[in-house]
Amino acid sequence: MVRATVERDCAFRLRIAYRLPRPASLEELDEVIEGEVRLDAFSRLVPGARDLFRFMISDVSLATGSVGGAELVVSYGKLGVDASPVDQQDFEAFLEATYGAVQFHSMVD
Amino acid sequence: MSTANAKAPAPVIPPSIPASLDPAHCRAAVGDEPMIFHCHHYNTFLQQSIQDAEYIDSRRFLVGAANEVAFGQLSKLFREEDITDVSERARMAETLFQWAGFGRVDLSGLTDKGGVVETPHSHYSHAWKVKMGEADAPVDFFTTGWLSGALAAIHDKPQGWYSSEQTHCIAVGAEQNRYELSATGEPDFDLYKTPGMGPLTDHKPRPIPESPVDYEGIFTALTGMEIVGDETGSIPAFGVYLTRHYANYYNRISFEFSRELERCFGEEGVSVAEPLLVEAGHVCAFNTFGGIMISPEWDALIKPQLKTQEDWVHGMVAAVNALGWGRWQVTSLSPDEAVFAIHDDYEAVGYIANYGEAAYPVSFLAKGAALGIMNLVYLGDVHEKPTFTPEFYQRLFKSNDSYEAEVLENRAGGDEVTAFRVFRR
Repeated sequence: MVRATVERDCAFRLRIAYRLPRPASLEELDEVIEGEVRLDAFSRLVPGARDLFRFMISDVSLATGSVGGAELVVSYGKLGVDASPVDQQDFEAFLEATYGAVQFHSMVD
Repeated sequence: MSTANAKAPAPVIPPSIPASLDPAHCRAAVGDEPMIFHCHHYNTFLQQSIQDAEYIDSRRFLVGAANEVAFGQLSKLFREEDITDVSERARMAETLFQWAGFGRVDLSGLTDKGGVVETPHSHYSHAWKVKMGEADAPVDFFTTGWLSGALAAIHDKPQGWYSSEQTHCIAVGAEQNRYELSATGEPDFDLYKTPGMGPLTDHKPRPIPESPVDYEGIFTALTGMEIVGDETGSIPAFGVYLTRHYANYYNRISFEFSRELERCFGEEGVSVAEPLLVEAGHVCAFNTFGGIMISPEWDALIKPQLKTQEDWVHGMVAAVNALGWGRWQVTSLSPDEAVFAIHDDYEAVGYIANYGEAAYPVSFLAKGAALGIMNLVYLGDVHEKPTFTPEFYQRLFKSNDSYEAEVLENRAGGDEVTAFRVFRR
């Protein structure tokens, strides 16, 4: 099961934190990655730190997570640009197929 | 330490911005202009605070300050990089604007006579609409002035050669922003000469309480991240929308605002300006620091080292050092009070460079930000990832429990550093 927490980013865009049942893997996520993956190798610089990855799932929607971490945070849309509802639908369909049903446990208007 | 997997074509923005990092002073620069990170909340709130004083003509310095930094920076860049071709210069200017997160501008419609620029991508206009709602009049004074300075630099004209006006604005309801530039030779804004980097000191870091936070590693990691504008000239990072802005722009508009009020009302004018500028610092801390401390970036890089609330303060101070604001230290710390010492904070350095030694403390943003760290950590329990609502802001900064600050040392007044004691009421 994927546990989803709905928030707003600071430009009032929809932001959802997805808690996966196991650590995220870039190989598994490859299907939804649009363009390049930006990887910051924090673990080589700071003891205990995890490497950060960022990638787009569409032109305007950004996913961020860490290697070995089980949380993926997706911002749908960005300052000045709305996201299509398809971004969320497609991404959650992928999560469901890969990690299990997506269950929302809180909402912010 | 930031790498991109070879899965897609080359990045949209060519890596052609000659940014330099000065770790000894915790500063970054492009073309001798110190560049610092701030988010859209601070950018719009600061401008609104200034514009709310309707009895002063703030447009003249809001536009003039942007003209100042663009002209100074690009003139220097073109010389240093030996860029003489006008179209190449224009491309460099466009790329810089996008890289810094200000949006996108296409300068192909401009000649040495002036012309028109239209864009649907403006940091200030979009941010204003999101944060303040629809505006009555165009709000993107920054781009208005920046374009006039950039065009003068591109064509080797005097700094104030082009007057500039924004005629359409997304924040007013237009589809896109429109700016008209004319080679009048008479600027319709105030002209300033940028001080560049300003007078920096040799930092002598002070002893700090023991902490597991790896200041150096965090600085290296954060300054190594590629945090640049995307295809629309936007920088979504740390849960906020950042700009790599000009320290000298913030300084000019803040200090001209304060000086205008002083001209109007004497010393009382300064006492009116200060709380407004400190409040802008609160807004910055609440949104930018708050956004950072609940972000995936924080969770990956900094949070694994944190055990106590004191560690969270150290973690945030370590992150601030990567923003270009100068070297921050917390030299004593408890839930009741803390002392923050800042070496070469950008406000003090800019004030001295522009106006000489200050008669009163001028590090308004720094004061608000130091208060913000303490309010977020000890009053807001930011480690529990609260929701950042207006009510939460009120509780953190406007309640009887909110921290207060006093200036212990004033770099702009001749002291070695700027230092604040932040304490519970």
